[in-house]
Amino acid sequence: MENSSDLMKKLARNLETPSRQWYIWVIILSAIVLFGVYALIRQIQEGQIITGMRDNAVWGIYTANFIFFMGLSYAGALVSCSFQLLRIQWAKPLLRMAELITVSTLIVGAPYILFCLGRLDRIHYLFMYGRIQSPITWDVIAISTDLVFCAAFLYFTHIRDFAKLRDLEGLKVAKWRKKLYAILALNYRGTPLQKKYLHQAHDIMAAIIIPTAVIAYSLLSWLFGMSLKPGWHSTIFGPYFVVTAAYSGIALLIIIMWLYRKSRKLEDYITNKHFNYMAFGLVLLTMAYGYFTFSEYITDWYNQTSQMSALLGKFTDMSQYGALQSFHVLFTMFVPLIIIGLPWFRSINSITLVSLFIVIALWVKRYLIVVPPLETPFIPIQDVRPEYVQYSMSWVEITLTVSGLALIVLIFTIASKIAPIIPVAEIEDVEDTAKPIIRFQTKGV
Amino acid sequence: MIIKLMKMKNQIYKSVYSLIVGFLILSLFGTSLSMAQSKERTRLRSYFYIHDNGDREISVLLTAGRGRNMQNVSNAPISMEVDMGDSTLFLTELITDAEGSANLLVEAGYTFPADEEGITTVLASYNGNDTLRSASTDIEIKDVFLEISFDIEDSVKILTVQAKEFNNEGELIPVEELDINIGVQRLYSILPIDEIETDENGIGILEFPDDIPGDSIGLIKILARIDEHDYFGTVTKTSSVNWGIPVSYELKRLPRQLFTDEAPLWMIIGVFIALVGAWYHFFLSVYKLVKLKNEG
Amino acid sequence: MDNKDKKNNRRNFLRNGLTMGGSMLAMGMGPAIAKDSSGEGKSSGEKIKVLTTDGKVIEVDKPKDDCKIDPCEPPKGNAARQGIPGRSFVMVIDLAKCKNARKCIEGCQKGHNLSPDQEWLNVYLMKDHDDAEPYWFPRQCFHCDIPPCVKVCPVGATYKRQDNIVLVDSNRCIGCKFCMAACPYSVRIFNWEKPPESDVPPEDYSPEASVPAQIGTVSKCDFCPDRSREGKLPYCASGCPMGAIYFGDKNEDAVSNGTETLRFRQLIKDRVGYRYLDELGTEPNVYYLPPVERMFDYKSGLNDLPEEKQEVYKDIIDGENNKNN
Repeated sequence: MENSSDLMKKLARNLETPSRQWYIWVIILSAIVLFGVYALIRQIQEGQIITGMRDNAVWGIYTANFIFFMGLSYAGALVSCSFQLLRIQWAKPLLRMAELITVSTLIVGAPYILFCLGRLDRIHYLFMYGRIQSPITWDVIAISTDLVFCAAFLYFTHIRDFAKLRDLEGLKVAKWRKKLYAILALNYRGTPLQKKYLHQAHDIMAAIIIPTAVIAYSLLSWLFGMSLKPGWHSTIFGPYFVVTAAYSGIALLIIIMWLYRKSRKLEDYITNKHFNYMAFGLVLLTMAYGYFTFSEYITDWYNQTSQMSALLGKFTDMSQYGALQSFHVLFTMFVPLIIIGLPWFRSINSITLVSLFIVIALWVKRYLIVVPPLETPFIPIQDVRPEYVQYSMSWVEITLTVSGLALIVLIFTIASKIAPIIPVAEIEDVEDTAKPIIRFQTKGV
Repeated sequence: MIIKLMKMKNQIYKSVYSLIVGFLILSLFGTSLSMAQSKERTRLRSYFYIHDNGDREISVLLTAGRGRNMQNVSNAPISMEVDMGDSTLFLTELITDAEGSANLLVEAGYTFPADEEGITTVLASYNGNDTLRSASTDIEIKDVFLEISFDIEDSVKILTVQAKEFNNEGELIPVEELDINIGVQRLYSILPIDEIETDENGIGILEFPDDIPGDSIGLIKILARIDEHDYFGTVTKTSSVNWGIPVSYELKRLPRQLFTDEAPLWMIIGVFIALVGAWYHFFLSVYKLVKLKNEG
Repeated sequence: MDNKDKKNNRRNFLRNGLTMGGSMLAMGMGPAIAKDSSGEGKSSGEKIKVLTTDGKVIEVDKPKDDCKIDPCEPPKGNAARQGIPGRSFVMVIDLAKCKNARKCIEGCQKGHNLSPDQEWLNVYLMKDHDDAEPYWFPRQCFHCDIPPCVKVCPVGATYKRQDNIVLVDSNRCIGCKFCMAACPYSVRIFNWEKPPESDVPPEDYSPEASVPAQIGTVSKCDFCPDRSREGKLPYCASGCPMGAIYFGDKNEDAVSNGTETLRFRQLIKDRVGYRYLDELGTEPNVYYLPPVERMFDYKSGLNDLPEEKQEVYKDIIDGENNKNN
């Protein structure tokens, strides 16, 4: 049976023997990642004294990164799974990118919470002595579940493409890779029964990933919400975090779309229409995000409890967090509405640029969620040591952050050498015979 | 420092005479003398205790310097003697410990030579050395016997303490007008209850409060104490009685709570259902793939 | 044989008396610095001279302080998760007496082998509102009955005991610092670097004594249950020259600052004892007596402080100065 196609033939060229530039690129990324490993080893050897974290700001950018990357992983859960379930045809070319974002950010983001641990050598205690009452335990369970599910879904959506690659004649790749494709394709020949099973598997995974991701990210927000700290103790945090996550995930998806479109000449597949639709989603999320942010602050600002006013004072004071807060407000709420919302500035490049700023501004937001409340405890900080009063990140933390980003890029670089970044089978073999959720039964049938 | 001195005054009693004399000397000649001589002025204080079991303890404290610069002198030899009028009876030599104090324990059975009133005068002296001047002190001591008894009349708890001493004929006679503090032994210290004064029969009576917690069976250790008497010193007598409110010593199992080791049941059930629900679907879809593979 | 037993019994009896006499003397005196060398070599420190019934002077071993709670040895590992039966430890701090002498901090640091910049308890300068007079506010762990820190611990390294105490097991702590973020009173500290060398070998570690500390773990005020077993007050309570810190057992209805013992309930009733940030629902076990009829001006607490430390209180002091002008 012939499964391969012209599209696959075209895209498969990208998978063939990598060029020298590709190797150099991989080496550079690996070097950055390895430097991060070195920084981590230093931190384990010398203790967390070499980070910027101290007794008041007990968490820093590791935790901010943790929620940031977890948030980005929403792209896959939301776009890929819901579009899969809703049978939205136009979005098919974006699905694999979205899923890759999910898996790579989960792999990279989850360890950041571990970097906060003072005793990495006791990590197995989480399982030996785990307490179900702790939000950390919830996170460990939810994120590992989420990661397994998303990785499985990523693989599920690859199966038909692996089958195509296995059957593609003249594919110039190493023998072991051919063998690998054959194994990963699971004897898929496109028989009606196989199609049915694959479809069922897809649907089940997609259906379970959406609630898993919502729960996982709500639990993440409760890492803060389940605390008496002003600025953390907020009932809105669950949904707020979920919306923020979706927002940053879509923004990153737009950036990735732009990068692949440019670098792989995929203009035919990642079209203006895709940007248009995604930008529309982005504007909706901008408004949702703005709404949540406004409700979060307006209630605290209106009530003016002494603790919250102290915290809000720091957000408006330009010598403290005023600048960061302004940057965040500007680029997550106003700029997207003006540039994307109004017709005059809208272009593929402007949408992408705005998305980039949204992603950065949402990282800033995570920093503002984590650090300033820690520096504003109930009991005033009366400490002579400036580093105990105000957090500032150290080289170790910056290095580990940069190498985390490098690792995500590396994962993308390698993953798009294994299979085409566009899900070929999804586009070619259109499956609109979805199993209806509700079956109307007629008597006598 | 003033507070400290005041506290000292409260806690540690110096025999009244030597205190006044000492203060007079200090205030009159203190400055000029210490300027004239390079040797540091020392001071010896003595305290007398009668313990629960009848053992007596004479304790001396050697200090050097004055006011803020006062220090305790450790490792100094103190000679202990009994004043016999025209002669002295050498008892022993004590060495001060790290806190500057030295103690001599006198077993209950030992009888000191005493004057016609039954009072013994013990002399403690320090000879001084190259840098410290000599010092000495005397302390008058006498035995006293306290007896605690408990009665309940019309559900009122009556505590009776009787104080007796030997007269010069060797008979036990009551001690009048003796202030006795009543307290209850607690973990860290003694909780004072009240002060009573003995009448002409040497008896003091106290209506004991009802609301003192005891141990698991309501037992409390009651102390009767004479504090820093001129020659009885500090006398302690204890006795236990089950007049306290019993306190449960049972280690109660902590409830299923967020802050205890065992999680609330609803939480365990909730997590269990969520996990089973999620992973069931995962394995269901994997099962579909297995079927897909077998189909091929 | 019979006689010998009797004698041993008597020696045991002596102990109780001794400790009482000894502790009375130990109070109120400065440290022993001066030394007389003429007694060198004779003093053992461990011995006491006894004048026996037959008039002989003998030297016997000076017994160690008696145990008040059995067992005297602080338990190790999981055994320390059980509270001391029948106890309910509480602390009462008289804010009227505190003048920021910081002796509590020093005593605590020495006793728990902390480095000088690690403070299990701290003295804050508080000012409740514009017209209020500032006051010094010692803050140790409140050993809450509903401890937010214990709720969030993922591995049960910090736990609540039946005797009110919240402890940290350094052997189990993974150093996630969630408890530090959860504590609304900022009482927990982290061992960011290698803690100071300790005489106590690691195998003798008890969560009750909290030494030796370990890098990468959280530590905090432990209410010194190891000292309670010996009938001693916590380092901070016994170290305070003002007697501002009272400690005791609520079940015994008594708190003591070393010189004075009061009935706990009566004290709280008479002096309107309150708990800091009680409205958070954490049910703290440290009570404060309001700073009324104060013994000191708050400024006297500033005198011995280094300039940089005074700078920390700048806002409050400036506010006060402006008010007076």
